[in-house]
Parts: sequence; C-alpha cells; structure tokens
Amino acid sequence: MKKMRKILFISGLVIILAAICVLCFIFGRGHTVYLDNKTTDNTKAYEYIEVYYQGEEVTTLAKNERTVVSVIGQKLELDLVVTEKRNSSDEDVHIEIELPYDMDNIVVSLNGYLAGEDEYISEFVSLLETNTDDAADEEINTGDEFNIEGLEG
Amino acid sequence: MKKVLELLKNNLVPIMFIIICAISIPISGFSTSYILNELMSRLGRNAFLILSLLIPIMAGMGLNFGMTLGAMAGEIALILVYDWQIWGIPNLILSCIISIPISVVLGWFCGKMLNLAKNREMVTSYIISYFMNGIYILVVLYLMGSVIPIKHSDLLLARGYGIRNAVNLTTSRQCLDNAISFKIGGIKIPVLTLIIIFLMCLFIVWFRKTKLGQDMRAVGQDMEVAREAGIDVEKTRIIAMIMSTVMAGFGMVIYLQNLGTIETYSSHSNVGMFAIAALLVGGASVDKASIGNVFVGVVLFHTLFIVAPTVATKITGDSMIGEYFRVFVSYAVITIALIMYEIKKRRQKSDAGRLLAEAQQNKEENK
Amino acid sequence: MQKIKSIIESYGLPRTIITCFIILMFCLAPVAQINMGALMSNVLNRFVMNAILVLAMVPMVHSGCGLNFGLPLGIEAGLLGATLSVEFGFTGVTSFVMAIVFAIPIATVFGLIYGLLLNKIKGGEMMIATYVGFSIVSLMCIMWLILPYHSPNMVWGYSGNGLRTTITLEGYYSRILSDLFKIEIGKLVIPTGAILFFALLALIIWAFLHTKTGTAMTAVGSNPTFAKAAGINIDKIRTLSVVMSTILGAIGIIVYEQAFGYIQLYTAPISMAMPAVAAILLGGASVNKATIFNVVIGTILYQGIVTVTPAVMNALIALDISDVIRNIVSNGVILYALTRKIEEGKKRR
Repeated sequence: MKKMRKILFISGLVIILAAICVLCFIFGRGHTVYLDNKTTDNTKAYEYIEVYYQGEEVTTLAKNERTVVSVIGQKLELDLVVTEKRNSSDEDVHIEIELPYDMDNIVVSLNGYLAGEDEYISEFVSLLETNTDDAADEEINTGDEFNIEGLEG
Repeated sequence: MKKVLELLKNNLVPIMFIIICAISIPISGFSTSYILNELMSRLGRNAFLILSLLIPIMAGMGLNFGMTLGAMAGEIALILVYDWQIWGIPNLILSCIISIPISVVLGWFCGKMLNLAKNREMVTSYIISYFMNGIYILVVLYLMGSVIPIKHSDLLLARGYGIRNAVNLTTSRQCLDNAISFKIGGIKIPVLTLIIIFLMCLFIVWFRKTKLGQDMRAVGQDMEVAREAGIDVEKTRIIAMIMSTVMAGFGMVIYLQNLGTIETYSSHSNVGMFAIAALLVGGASVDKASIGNVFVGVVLFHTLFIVAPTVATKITGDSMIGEYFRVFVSYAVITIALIMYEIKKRRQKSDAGRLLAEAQQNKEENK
Repeated sequence: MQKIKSIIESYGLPRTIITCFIILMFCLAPVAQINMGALMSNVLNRFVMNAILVLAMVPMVHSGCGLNFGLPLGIEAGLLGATLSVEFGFTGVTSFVMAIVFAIPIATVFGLIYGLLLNKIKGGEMMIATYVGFSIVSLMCIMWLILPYHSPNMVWGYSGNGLRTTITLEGYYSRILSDLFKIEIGKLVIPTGAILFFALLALIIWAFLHTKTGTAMTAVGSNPTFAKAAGINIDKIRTLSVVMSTILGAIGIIVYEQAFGYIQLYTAPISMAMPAVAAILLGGASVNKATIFNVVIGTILYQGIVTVTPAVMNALIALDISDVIRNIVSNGVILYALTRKIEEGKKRR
C-alpha cells in the first residue's frame, strides 16, 4: 500500500514536471522579430507606423525602415498608430500575429499585414552567421588547472 | 574568559576573514554602495549553490565536492535549452527540469561510490568530480553537435561539433534577477531570486524535521547506531547525495543566469571550490553547517573577492598578485578547515578513549 | 569463467582493461601507418620524464600516509632549486647538479613541516594533502611574481620583474640526462642516461626499504599497532617518509624539466599529482601497498595509454581526445582504488 502510494506520487510528480516542460516549450519559445515598413512587389510602404509593444513605444517607422523586438511566446501583439499617406489622419490598430514555431528570426512586413497581404512573414537570414570561421582555432581550456579568467565567483 | 577563548577558537576562520576584510576595504577605496551592490548580486548568485552543500553534511558525508556534478547537469541543461530557443523565465524553469534527471543519475552514482568508500567520502567525491569532468568534456566537446543534435551554429566550434569555450546566454541573462527588482540607493535588489533562496532555506528547515531528515541526522551521528535502529543507511546516504546534486543543478542555473555566460569547460569546477570555501569561511565545519553559515560565508568571502585584486594592485602594483591571492585564500581556508576538523576528531577520539580507560579503572577499584 | 574472473581480480580490473586497450592500440598502429619506433621512443621519453615523480609516491604509501596528493609541494621545491640554479648562472651539467643541490634542502624543510602536519591528522591525509598542494601552488604563484629574481633569461622582458610562465633550459640542463649515452636504432631513441638515473634512484629506494628503518616504515604502514608495540617511533618514521617523498618529487620535476627542455612555473604543478597517483595505482599498488615494480609497470602503462591512444586515434579518425582520455583514465583508476580498499577492509572484518 505504502509502496503503491509512493509510485503514484512519483509518477504524478513526473507528469506535472512534464506538463510544465510542455508549457515552457509553448510559452517560452523566443523569437527575434524584425518589423518592416518597406515597399515590396505587392505593397507600398506607409508614411509612418508608430509601434508599441507591451505598452511601451518601440519606435516610429518611417518609409522603408526596420525595427526589432524580442518576443517570448507564439503570439505577437502590437499596437500601431498608422499614418497611411502624408496628410491623412492617424489610425489606431491593434494586431495579433501567430508566429511560426520553428523560425528563430522572423521578418514581419507590417505594411503587408495591414494591406491584407497573405505572405507577410518571412525568415530572416543573417549575414553574420557565415563569419563564424573567425574563431577557427579557439583554444579549449578544459579546466585542469585553476584558470584565472573564470574567477568571477 | 575561557568562554571567549573557546568562542574565538571555534570561529577562527570567520574572525580571520573579518579582520582581513576590515583592513582591505578602506585600502581598496571602493564606495560602500558599490561593495553592497556587488555583494547583493553575488549573494543571489551563490547562496543557492552553497545551500546545496548542507544536506550531505547533515548526513555525515562531509563537504560534497561532488556538487560539481550537479553544476555540470545544470550547464548541459542550459546549453540544450538555449539551443531550443526557449527564452526568459521559461528557459530557467525548463533548464531546471531538464537538469533533474541528469542530476539524479549523477547523484545516484556518486552516492553509490561514496557508500563503497565510507570514512573517505571527501577525497572520493573530490576524485568523482574530476572523473565526471572528463566524461562531461567528452559529452560537450565531442558528442554535442555530432551525436546530440545542436541546431545553432553559434554554439558550436568552427569544426562543426563541440560547444564553444563560452556560451553567451543572451536570451535569459539576469531574467530571474530582473523579474521583480528595485533599487535602494544604487543597490539592486533581485527580489525573486532572494525569494527562491528564502524558500530553499525554509525547505531545508522543514526537511530537517521530516522522518527522512531525522534519519539522515542519525546516519550522520553514527552509522552503526542508525543501522541498528532500522534505518537503511546506504539508501539514506544515496538520497542525501541525489538531493544535493539536484539542488546544485538548480543553483547552477541561477548562478549562470546572473553571470550571463557559461564558461563551458571551467565554470563548474570553480563553482564547487568557491562554494565550499565560502561555506567554511562562514564558520561551518566538515560535520556541522547551518543556514547562517551560508550567508555569513557569502558576505565575508565575497567581500574579499571584490576588494582583493584592487588592494593587491594598490600595494604591490601588480593585479595578477590579487588574482592569485584570492585563489590562495580559497585553498588555504579549505585546508585550514579540514585540518581543524581532523584535529578535533582525533581529540574527541582520544578523549573517548581516556574516559573509557578511566571508567574501567574505576570499575577495577570498586572491585 | 570463474578462473578468468579470479585472474582479473588479482591483476586488477582497470589494469586488465588498460593493458588490453594498449595492446589493441599497438595492433592498430601499423594500420594507421604510425612508425612504431617513433611511438616507442615517445613512450620511453615520457617514461623517464614521469617515473621519478611516480617513485615519489612509494615512501609515503609504505608508511601508511596514503597516496601523496601533496606532490606539488615537492615539485615546488624542485622548481625553486631549478630557478635558483639558473639565477646563479650555472650552465650545462653543473646547472643540473646545482638545481638538485639547491632543491634538496628546500624539499627537506618543506617535507619536515608537511610531515609534522600530517602526523596531526592521521586518517585524513589524502584530502588535506590535496589542498596543501593547491595552497602551496597558489602561494608560489604569488612568490614567482615577487621574489627578487634578476636573470634576464627568466624574468619578463618588458617589466623586468616576475618570472615567466615557461623558462627555456637551452644552454642550461636541457636533455642533459636524456641525451647521455643515447642509443638510436632507426627512429627508436633510447634515453639511456635518464633511464640509468631512474634506475639508480629506484635502487636506492629499494635498498632503503630493506634496511632496518625501511622495514620499520613498512611496519608502520601495514600494522601501526604492532609497530608501536615493537617500540618504533611512528611519528618520526612517517615524517621521514614524507621528507623522502618530497625530495623525490623535487628531483623528479628537475628530471622532468631536463627531458622537456623547459621549466614550467605558476599553475603547471597543480595538475601533476593526479597522473603520478594514477600511474602507481595502475601499476598495481593500492592505497597502502606499493613496490618499485608497481612504479615501473604503472608508468609504462599510463604513459603508454596517453601517448599511443591519441596518436592512433588521430591517425585513424582525425580526433584528438588525448586530454579527455588522460583525464578519465587517471581519475577512474584513482576512484577504483579508493572505493576498493574499503571492500577489502570489510572482508577482513
């Protein structure tokens, strides 16, 4: 009886931990999202887009500008103040975008989204990544002796 | 008077440290708020790790040099989770959970080994930490990226497998410290980290009173007596090791989120040494340590750490001397504490022997 | 099956595994197109570098002080001797002799203090020895910076004070023993001089262990109660063994340097105790029993594995894992020995 209870307790604990893991996977997935206000083949850039993320102003995008936000979770919620053309009046827009799970760096075309374009999400390919060869012969310190650099304690 | 002397004798190491700190703080010329801010940061960073040492001491297994095993588990978990691109607080929670199975296996192994090496637990756990370090390097330097999938090439060495010397935890850096924090007079208080440390202290206090905790103390007092009382000594000791290792894994996650960088091949070994030294500076000994020792230790030991390089530079004009000096102090403290423990143990033994002899003599006389 | 098991038991599990492994590696070497002569010379060279350091374990094991994790103490004494010899401007053979002459009194003093300490903490020697070693190495790190050395060959060029991390021995005693009576057969080089020097020291230790004091030392280690009853001054014998170990450590590092060609200061000595401890255990010694034979076999096996394996691995699959192998082997062997001794104790009870 006592053993049974112990097994139940442990399996319950494992299930709870696994559930927390799943939650972390879903709500903890981080993305670097690049927000564009750029003219593409299908859409034209807006005059100004003021971007607010989590209640704080990120920046104001003029024509053909880009900004970046770090997003944790699968949903990107933004408050925008959009000025479509010069002299036209401001418009407050609240948008929610589902982010693809397996993309780390995402480019979101705001003007494309606002204009009802289908393909407003694309993957950002960093030019920096090809530069990793810089550290080709990195010396590996296997910590056999006390290494002074690691002593932040 | 005798009492004062006794008190001085029992707290030799902390008193030495208070004196050293009292002399070096004015020389360093740092402002109080700078030192306090640094201390607060280091307290949040290290306290949890040091707390993980308490349970094996309770179970009579001495200073757990094998806590580096938990630290390795924490590092492996952090590297994996970083690669999965889970950010922020979920990163830390997930890292902790992932580290648990690794820590449990390592802790179990360590406990098994220590059961084979009773009365020389410390030197054995010390060698285990070195041995496991070899396995850890094998896993991280050769298997990660070749056998264990690692997606992000910025983690890997240029040759395509093996993790780099340093991993920048850009996506979870200080996220626990900053989650709830405020500043008083330039001193940042990482409230959430402190709450977690406080909960851990509560847990340890509570745990001491549970059946298992009582068993552990009994085993720590005298293994043979405990065995006669029907306690499964071996199992209790293994559990103590597993608990300590798991806690050390969590502690490492907290430690690294504060630093923001994993020194892939050296963080864990340094962490073990400094945690043990800090605990001893706090007045703990090999067979007795309290939560109070942990905090006194962190404050004293890390004050010295903050000021030593500057003080040495000011006195001798060479900053390297300060770096070496604080390494020397950590080692010397551990050495002195170990020596005092052994001497005390021997004295107790001979006292017991003398008492026994006297008792026998009395018996003879009574006849 | 039972028989095989008992043979392995008596030969020691790690030793069996490692011997098999080395044989396998030697079989693979021709496949990987490695020159056997060069490989053997490499092993021999490393043997003479390390053998005396391993020999330094013997006296302390005999007197029951356990494995000498405090070897860095002797090494630091040797380093002091070596740097003093260079500082006073000796060259060639004289510098080697003078290094040893300077090192021995320093090692004796270190050993005496260390021995007195170890007598106060019987039973906890190994852990404390480790930390005494670490403490002395970090203390000496400071010393190398502030001691008043002036020889331009040793101090940092630009600041003029503080010793360099590695000091070349070119013109001093670089390879003075290794190249003495050197025999070359194709690519196989036998450093006869150094081997003879080791043999001489080993002979001295062997002879010593058969004198009256030597047998007393063994008695202290194997049965302290009996030794006490026989009127042996245990503390004195133990101190003597510690001094001997420390002196051997000091000479060992000087011989190591002459084969290596450099003096390594600062943190280098800290990682030197483990391989020596592992080697003697691999040779079949236990925490309380060690012979000269153990030293020779152990050093050959240990150095064999750390030289041959990486060479073969590198040639076959282009993977350099020498560090990891050295680490796992040495600590695995020590771990095995530490957990094993207690098992025997249980049986005896």
